[in-house]
Amino acid sequence: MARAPQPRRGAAAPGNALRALLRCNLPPGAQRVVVSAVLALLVLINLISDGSVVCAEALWDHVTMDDQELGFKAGDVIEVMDATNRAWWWGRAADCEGWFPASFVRLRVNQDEPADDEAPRARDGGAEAGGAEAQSSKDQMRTNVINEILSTERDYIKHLRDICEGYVRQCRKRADMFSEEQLRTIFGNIEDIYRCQKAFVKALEQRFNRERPHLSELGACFLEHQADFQIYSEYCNNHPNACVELSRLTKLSKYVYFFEACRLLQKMIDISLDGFLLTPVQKICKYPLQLAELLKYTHPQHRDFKDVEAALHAMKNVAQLINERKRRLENIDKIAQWQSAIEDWEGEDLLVRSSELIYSGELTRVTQPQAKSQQRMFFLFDHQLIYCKKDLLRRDVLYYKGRLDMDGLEVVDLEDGKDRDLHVSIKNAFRLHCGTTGDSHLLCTRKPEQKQRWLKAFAREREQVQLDQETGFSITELQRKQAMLNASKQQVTGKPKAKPPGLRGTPCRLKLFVPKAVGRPCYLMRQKHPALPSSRPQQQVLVLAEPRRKPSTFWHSISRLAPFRNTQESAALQKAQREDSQMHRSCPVRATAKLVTMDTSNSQLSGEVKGAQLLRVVILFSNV
Amino acid sequence: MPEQSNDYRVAVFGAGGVGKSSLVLRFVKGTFRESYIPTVEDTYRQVISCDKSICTLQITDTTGSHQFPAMQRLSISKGHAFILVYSITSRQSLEELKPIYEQICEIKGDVESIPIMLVGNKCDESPSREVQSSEAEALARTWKCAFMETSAKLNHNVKELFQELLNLEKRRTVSLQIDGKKSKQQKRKEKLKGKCVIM
Repeated sequence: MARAPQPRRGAAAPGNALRALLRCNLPPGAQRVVVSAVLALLVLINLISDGSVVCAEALWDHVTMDDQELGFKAGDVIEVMDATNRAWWWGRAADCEGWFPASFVRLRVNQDEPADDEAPRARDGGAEAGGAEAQSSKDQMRTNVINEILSTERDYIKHLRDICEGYVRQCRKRADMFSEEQLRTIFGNIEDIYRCQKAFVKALEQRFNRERPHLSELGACFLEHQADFQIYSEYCNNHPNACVELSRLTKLSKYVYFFEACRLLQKMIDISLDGFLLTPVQKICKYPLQLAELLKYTHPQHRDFKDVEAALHAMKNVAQLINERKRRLENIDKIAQWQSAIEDWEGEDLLVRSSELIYSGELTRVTQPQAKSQQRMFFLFDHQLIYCKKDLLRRDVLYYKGRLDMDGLEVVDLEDGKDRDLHVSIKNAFRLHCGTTGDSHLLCTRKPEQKQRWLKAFAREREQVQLDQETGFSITELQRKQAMLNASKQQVTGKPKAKPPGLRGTPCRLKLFVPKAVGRPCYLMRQKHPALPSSRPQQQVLVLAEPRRKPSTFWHSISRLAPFRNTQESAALQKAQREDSQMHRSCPVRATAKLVTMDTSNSQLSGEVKGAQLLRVVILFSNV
Repeated sequence: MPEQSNDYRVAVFGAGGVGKSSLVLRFVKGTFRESYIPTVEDTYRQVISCDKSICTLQITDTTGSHQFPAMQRLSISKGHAFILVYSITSRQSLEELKPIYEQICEIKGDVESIPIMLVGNKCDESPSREVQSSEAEALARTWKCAFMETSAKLNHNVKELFQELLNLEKRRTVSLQIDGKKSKQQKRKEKLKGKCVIM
């Protein structure tokens, strides 16, 4: 060997320094300097001490006549043994060792996995095939799927542990940086998820048959734990808030360094915190896939077959439920906004009892005394029906006129002809009859199909209410208040920058119009927002276009195409994205420059810092 | 602006079985598995160059989420670039991309500045082709995105796909190749050679 790489050194010293840093309160400037220096050192030493597993793939041929240099062909895998120098690394390929230019290779990502994971698998298969020729390939596939379920579960647990121990715990120690509320926003209920998954993976391990993995019976595990998975709902619903809060915090370099320190200390892979925070969302979507795969390779005679089948169904339901709740929650912002755009709103907020628009359209209301008929816009939500009057001139402006409580109402389909009570001839009519008060409302549509649609919508409203009762769906008061607040903020900020896309060519039935300023919405009057300008509120009105598809898919597309398109939700997302793109525009080069200038202001440390800067590049290369 | 975790996030979408995982695996690890393709990891990473510096390409796998749009939205909102994969042997898989594209539009707003690549995978199986490339090209034009046919199995166009996608990024210079400072390194090489001899 021409030159041995550095001897192995423990990572304890810099690790301790980091730990101390997280605890102490250095002035931010000094902290930054020390952190970047320590981080670089830590990773470098880690890299060297773990030299045996760092593999790089050659991007180009490296042809050399120098016997101290390592020659290789593009595509060769090189074991990197020393990367202390930025440009020239020491490594081994085949049986040779030598220097090679670092730029000629790229580090293999996912180094934690064996470089060639096909080989051992093939060997396993071969051995088993030799032992028992009869073992069908289906059993082998089942083994594969079971191994995968177990291994992804272990990986996932590790992720969760890393987040809980590496981030949450560290953040808790810094009450000066994070309030308890902020932590709750960023991390949601991830600690509960961690707890549940720990129990789950334990149950899986117990049922795992080590000798003959394909005989493992995992189905029951999923069935036993299916109710626990519902806590993912809260997590998924909170995730957008977490992203907004994170991108807000990471505008401050102190937080960026803190999170980076947490990551390195926990020796986590090179993904930013928001990447880690997305894993539970991804995970809960994957269970149905894995179970479907498992079922595919489970023989109907297998003892686990029925359980796997039931588990697949259960986990699909769980994911669907979570998805549905997420969607509903996205809707409440839209509903809040819709309400705040209605003039002369009276009574309690819509969200107190409702969370979904079921149907809407124009109906003729025939009132009792003089059989007068009025054209009104009706909006059917779960639990209540709101009716509004269109402005005579501005047809897109709506005035609140009243509401009906759907819980006590009976819908009566009326035949065309003379109405006995009102003595008028009616067509396409139905009656909403209130059992307790005896009130009755006669409503007519223009066309018979419209009446059918309304009748179906009323039925659907009842189904929805019942379903929500069964699954225990409700909006918390906090979520409701937040939505109303967002709606009022929306009024202040005015129209979101991006124009509502997707109106073209999409099967969109509810179209949104954003006219110019009109009167100030009533909701805002009642809320205490003295600073609100009355000049720029925004009106949003729904106009119902003719549905073309069959009603069953109607609600699906409504939810997807977002009747209330200009929402706070999307505004918040867009804001987050703008922030994202801003932070990325100033990517490494400028950021590096800034870091150096910042640091060199402390002249004593400047030399060291430039060194650290060099090493930072290595950090990016070497996080494995 | 302080230094940010400079990662570039790519989300890969597509119906089940079109080869999202295979594409990503082929790109990141260079492997392809004929018989059994496991659900890939949640997030892959790859070192790339960005504005002449180094950053992490973060590839988010969305496997499993195509049935759950509200959760898919969470992945979309964090992505910088998108790969929409269908299989050329399944028209249905192309159809299933449409709602995903609409969602991206809805969440991202101005899609023209966002790198989106429509990808027809499995082009090695052209005997059972259901989607002609001309059709997909036309769709890509209406979507104002780029289009490419790939084969993860034959490693055809896989690297090119990611390179093209990064080329579409106009707000910064991102590239798979980390060779921004070659000439400098050339100089450094001379220097280092001297050092090695001394030792």
